[in-house]
This record gives sequence, C-alpha cells and structure tokens, in this order.
Amino acid sequence: MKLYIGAACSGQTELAAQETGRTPTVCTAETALRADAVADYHLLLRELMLAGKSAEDYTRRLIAENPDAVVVCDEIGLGIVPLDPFERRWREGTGRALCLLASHAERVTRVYYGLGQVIK
Amino acid sequence: MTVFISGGSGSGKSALAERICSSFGGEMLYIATMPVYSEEDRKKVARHHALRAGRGFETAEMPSKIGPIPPQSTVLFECLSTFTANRMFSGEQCPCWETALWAELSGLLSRPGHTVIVSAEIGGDGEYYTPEVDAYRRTLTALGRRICAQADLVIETVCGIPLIKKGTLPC
Repeated sequence: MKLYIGAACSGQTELAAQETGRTPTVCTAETALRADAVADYHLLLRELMLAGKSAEDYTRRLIAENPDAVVVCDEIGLGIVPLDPFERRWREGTGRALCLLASHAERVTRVYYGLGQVIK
Repeated sequence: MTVFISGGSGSGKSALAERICSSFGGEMLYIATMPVYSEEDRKKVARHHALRAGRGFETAEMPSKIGPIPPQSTVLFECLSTFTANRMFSGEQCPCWETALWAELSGLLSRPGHTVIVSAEIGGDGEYYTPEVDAYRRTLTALGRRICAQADLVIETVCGIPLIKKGTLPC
C-alpha cells in the first residue's frame, strides 16, 4: 500500500498518478476494495460514517482485501475543532484511519504545494 | 528535558507522548485537562485511560489551573490546546492570556523532571472565526512557540508518524 496525504488541493492526487502510473478515482466503500488507486479517501470515510459505520473497521478491511492499493487522502484534522459532533467524529475517525493505513503502508508521502516529502 | 508534541485530530499524539514518557521512566504523572461534560467526552477519557493502562501513570485532573507538581516526576501534560481553551472561554477576564498562562507553564517546565506537552494543531483551516476564537488561536500558537524555543525535542505527528522538528527521539 502507498499513501498520499496533504492539505486540500495540494496536488496529492496528481503526484500519486505521476509516481505510480495509476489514476486515482473516487470510489464507494465497495469499489475501493478492488480499485488500484483510491482518490479522496476522506470523503469515502465521510459517507461511511454518515451511514453509521466505523472508519477504522472499514480501513482494516481495505488493508486486508486490497493491500496493494494506492490511497489518496486529505489531512482534515488541522483546524479549529468544529462545534458539530459529527464533524468532530469524522476528523478524528479519518485521522485514526490514516494512522492505520500509514502503519501498513510501505511508503507514505505528504504533499505540499505539489512537492512530495516521503515521511515513511 | 522538555518535549513538545503537536498534530491534528487522531494523528497519534497521545500514544507517542506515552511512549516517550515511559522511556524516561521514574515516577510518571499524567495531567488531564479535559473537563467532562458529555458522553463523547466520557468516551474520549475512557479511550485515553485504556491507552495508559498498565503504563504506571498517576493521573491528576487539572482542567483550569496547574497545581503543585512534584519536582522530579516525569509529567505528561495533555493537552495545551484544551487547557488554553478552558481558561480563555471560562468567562474569567485577563489583560494578557499569553503572559498569564506562560507564567504557569514555565513553572512546570523549569522543574528538574521531564515534561512532555501535547497540543492539537488548530491553525490549519482557512476559516475566519469570531474575535474570541482568533485570540485563542493566537494565544495558543504563541505559547507553543515559547515552548518550542526552549524545548529539547519538538515533534509533529502525521498519520502516527513522528516528524522531528528539533532534537532526537529517545525511543
């Protein structure tokens, strides 16, 4: 697994495509299990959590069933903590899901204005 | 030794802070700053209790005032962002929060024992907030900068990965 993260619109999707030769696509929870490159993972988790499911449980499944995937995700937990309880849970759930993905990934790249920094 | 750890929501700050404290050994004191109001708060506290279980921490609840701390203990202060919010949004008036809170924090940091301070990153969105929230953001980052200026080890956690900004990870 390879993980690309960064602040919104920092170029993580483009860099992932360029470095891996795969085209990250927006997936549902089902299609991500078979996709070779998943875009906007934070939005997939949002849909999942809106349906009452656990971001961490799903991420464990993704790691088990699609271990070679490239995953692209925004870092969403770096602002003022929102007043809305769901928004708080989404940020925290996405953060913990990224910790899980990163611990299983052979490479983690953080993208800053299009420039990648390999942090693992 | 002074250690400062910051990172986003769910980025693995606490787990790393606990690991570093355990590597220092000695008497360990966990300073909890979160006031418990809701079920969500209770779950959060329970999760942190489970993370610390068996690691040998004493726990002291100090949501609004840093009380007397044993000079030699290894202290895990969790967290600066909550503590600062508790004080600034308590209704208490203060001519300069940065000065007032720094006076309390520097007492903690000047002890001979190790101190590990955890803080949440909150300046990473593009939103405009009320003047009160803006003052909070400015105070918190000013305190963080003061701590980092004198800290031996400064770490940003990203996806559970420690990014070292200053110093060397002891474990």
